[in-house]
Amino acid sequence: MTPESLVAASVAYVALMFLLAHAADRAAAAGRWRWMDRPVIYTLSLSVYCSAWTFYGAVGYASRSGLEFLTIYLGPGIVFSGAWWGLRRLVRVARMHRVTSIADLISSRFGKSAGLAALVTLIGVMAATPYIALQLQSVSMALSAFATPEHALPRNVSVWVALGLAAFAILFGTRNLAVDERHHGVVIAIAVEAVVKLAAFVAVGVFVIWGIADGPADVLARIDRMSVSAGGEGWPINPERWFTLILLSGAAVMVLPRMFHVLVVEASDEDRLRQAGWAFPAYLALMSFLVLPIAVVGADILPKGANPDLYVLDLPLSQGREALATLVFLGGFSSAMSMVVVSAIALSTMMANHWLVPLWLRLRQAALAGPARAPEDLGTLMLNARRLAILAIIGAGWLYHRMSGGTSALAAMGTVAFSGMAQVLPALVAGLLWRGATRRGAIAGVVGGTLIWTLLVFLPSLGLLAQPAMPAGIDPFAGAVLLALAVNLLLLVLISLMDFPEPAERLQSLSFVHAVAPDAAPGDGAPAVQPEALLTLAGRLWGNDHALETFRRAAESQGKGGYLPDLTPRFLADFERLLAGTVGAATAAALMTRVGGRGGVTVSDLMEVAGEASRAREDNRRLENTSAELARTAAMLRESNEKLTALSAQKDAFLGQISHELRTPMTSIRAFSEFLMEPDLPTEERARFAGIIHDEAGRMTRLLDDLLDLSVLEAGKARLKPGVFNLHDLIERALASAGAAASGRDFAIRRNIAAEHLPVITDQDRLLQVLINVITNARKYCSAEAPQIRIDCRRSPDGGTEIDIADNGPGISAGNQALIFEKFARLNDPARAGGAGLGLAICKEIMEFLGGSIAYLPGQGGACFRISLPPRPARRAENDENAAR
Amino acid sequence: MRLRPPRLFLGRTAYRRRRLAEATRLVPVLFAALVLIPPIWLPQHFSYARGAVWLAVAWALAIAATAALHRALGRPSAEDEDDA
Amino acid sequence: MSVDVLLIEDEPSIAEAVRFILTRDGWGCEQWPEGTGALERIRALAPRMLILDLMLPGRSGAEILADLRADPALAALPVLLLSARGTANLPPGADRVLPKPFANADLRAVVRELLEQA
Repeated sequence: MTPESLVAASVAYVALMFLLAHAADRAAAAGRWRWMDRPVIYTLSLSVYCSAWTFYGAVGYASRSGLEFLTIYLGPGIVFSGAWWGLRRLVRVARMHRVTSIADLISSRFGKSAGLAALVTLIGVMAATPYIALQLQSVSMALSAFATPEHALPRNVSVWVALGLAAFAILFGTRNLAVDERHHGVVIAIAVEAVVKLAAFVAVGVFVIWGIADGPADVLARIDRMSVSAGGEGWPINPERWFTLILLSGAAVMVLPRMFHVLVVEASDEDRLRQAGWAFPAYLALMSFLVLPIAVVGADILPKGANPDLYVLDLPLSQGREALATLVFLGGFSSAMSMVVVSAIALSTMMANHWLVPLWLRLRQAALAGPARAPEDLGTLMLNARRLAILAIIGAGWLYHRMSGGTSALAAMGTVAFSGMAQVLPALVAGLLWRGATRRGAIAGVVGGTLIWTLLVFLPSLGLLAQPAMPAGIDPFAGAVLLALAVNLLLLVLISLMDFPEPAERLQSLSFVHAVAPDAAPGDGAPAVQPEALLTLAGRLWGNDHALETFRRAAESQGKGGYLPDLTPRFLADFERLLAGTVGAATAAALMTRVGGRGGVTVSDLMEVAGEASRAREDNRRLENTSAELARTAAMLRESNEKLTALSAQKDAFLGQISHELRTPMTSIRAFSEFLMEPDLPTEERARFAGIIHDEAGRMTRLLDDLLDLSVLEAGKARLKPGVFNLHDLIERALASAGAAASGRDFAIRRNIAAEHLPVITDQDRLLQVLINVITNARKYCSAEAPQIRIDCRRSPDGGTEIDIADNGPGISAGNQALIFEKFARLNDPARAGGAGLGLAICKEIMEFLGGSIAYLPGQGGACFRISLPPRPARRAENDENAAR
Repeated sequence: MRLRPPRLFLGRTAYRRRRLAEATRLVPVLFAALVLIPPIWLPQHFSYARGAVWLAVAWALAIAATAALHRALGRPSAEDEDDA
Repeated sequence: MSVDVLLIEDEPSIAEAVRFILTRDGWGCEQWPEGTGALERIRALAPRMLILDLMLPGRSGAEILADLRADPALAALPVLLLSARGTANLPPGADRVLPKPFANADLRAVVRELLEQA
């Protein structure tokens, strides 16, 4: 194998992963995610813990320092053996708060503090830089193992590796702004890579144990021989390093950004920890106990100058096993790739949510809740911020790799990262277990610990500072880490004990420590915010369809129809949490304050909540459910009662309206016909008056036709004539006849012709009637300077068809949105264009008759109607037809 | 502060589940003790083959115990909500 | 030509009929097609009487009538109300009411009566 062919093999391998991730993403988008959403995939994705450090570095570590390398895997082993009460709790709380990253979790727990989130992100980025450098270094180092004098190493391998991995992370990590930060394609890819890693490692391990050595007993004998051999000086266990490294690795499996991401953010529920709790340690144990034979056999048979980090490759190569070595190379490449991709995704989310967006919000004073002129701007901004962050992170890793000259041992770089990230551990553990831990305490602890870590561990690792002087007999690394963690913990506890936290923070601490769903924040009694403003904000982040669907469901759960739920405290709290799932808790809180002017929580609000909450919990759960049910019923009853009252008033108004609409043309007819009876009227006047009479009679006929149409539809006596039609043709016809009927203004019509070619099964004449009516209305009432009409068509997930017709006019005010589908509800319009105000009422009846619906979509920057058709017309129609025979 | 007053007595299934959940807390403590104390106490005895076998056996036991307990616990039921 | 009658009516054909009737009888007649700005129009033209439709876009005839009667300068202006909703529930303050549709002769008689008494 030449380095070139290995590069080609890795390119092919990455391409395969691309296809796999792409297929998984598509399957997830099509709703076929369920079969992939299994505990085993989750468990395998956790193996992103085993990066190239494990693959190459662990062997080097073992041959230098003996069993100490096991500490890196024993820590996670201990943590996972307690998964049922530790990790399960962490996952549950994090999912409850829709946490997007470790920084978000810490920030959310400590009163949604933006500063804390930015701080944790900083630590994450600092710690990840050497770690990513390690992966790049391992790949180029592994390639160099294959290099021979004839086949030199391709130049700048690490640049191309970095660029390729960045492209992968950008393509699959920032495809869209999900409401939960899950990336199905990436998860499937790393699960498959986990299998490749394991297979490669097991293959080389089996080859070494039984192919080179004489089975496990021989391996154990070789291990014992290390105590007297020349390479074994590092082997005796150093107690303080043993303890410190187990502590660090146990912390790392939870707080490393990439581990937090696969462990918590990508978990769809906490129950999968039941399997992962034993299966992931089993994976780790298998990997780590295969390290020992490779290390000792390598030390025995390879030349003294060989790099121990490369034993895993050199052993098969030295025995002429090229195919095995290639498999090992791909396994190592897999572990580097999954680590870099997941780290980049997790860190870029943190950087975008906690650095770039808060900065942007601060810089930009423009109101966010205004009408959405450019609906995607916020979402695109977020995605671009993440893409930029991915490039920055991987670029920084590459730079570190170049600066450090690729000389230091892999294990040393890994422990630097672990000890940095571990500074978050005291805040995390205290935050989950102790309600008294406060924001100021956490900040002081993290800052103190991180400063010590930077001075005593991080900068010395770069060669910028000398190794710290520790009292004799104490290991410098272990001493520095324990000092940093002790100062961190001490500051956290002392300052928290003296502190009195903000009320908002106390609410969060209650929710995190007791794993109870957060209560609706109090103090939002009369929010000044309009639901439409929130809908606009949500639409900018998630896209309109998703936002509308979320709001519709919220309205439905309140027993309301339409797209605008009541702004109850519960809805506001839920909405904020949904936002937090996209942009992080601190940013979500800031956005809510910006859009809604939501005031802060006061101490007395808090006392009130505590009282209510404890009282409410005395009632058992059934009572809660019943009362929720009752509240829903009451809301529905209230709504229907309001409707009935309004209906009875409407009936009187309806008769009055009919009277008016009939008498008006009648008046003209009577007056002009009396003129016609006069004998001495000039002929031309006579003709003109007869024309007026004719027109007015026609108007009366149209009114009577509309009324009859409406009563037939309302009584369910209309006959359905279904057929299959191309929606595009119907829209063409509707535009033609609406254009002919309307005033001479020039409208820009924006359509997506390709999307219109959808077959629909419906009654063509009836649908046409609706389309013409809506388009005519848009032409009539849109008063914009440069009027335009937008028509969007799409298949809905249930197989039906949705047609959105929007204009860019003033829209319809929230108060009137409920009225427009009522009879004669012509909204006080000065134009008074001909019709009697029955158009939309008829449209509504027709759509119900066709089994679909027509609704007004608020917050679209103009009037917008959504016409929804079912996959096929309702069955009722056929029965009627049979009955009619 | 406990927000929900704990039920004083449980049925047999719920009682067994509660004890199983407690057993899962014991596993990491025992495992940590096995992994930490001997190597720190007697590093010269646990640095080579004996240490490797000791750690392998301890870890295998911990994995088996976790697997058995998690299997016995099964899916969480509503009863289990306030066990943590 | 002085304005004898100001007609506030939004239906163009009815307005044309009324104007035709009154002009033939020799009255000067102006028309205003909506509720908004109607009061300003009345002040500007100072007609001798007003024919007011009840259902108008913008402000209703009832609102205009109430404002008129509240204004000392216009309180005495004779008003003929045209109603397309029968004669029940009419706003107070009108001198005469004609339900739509009306006979041309009735309109002529009422207008002559109001203008001659004024």
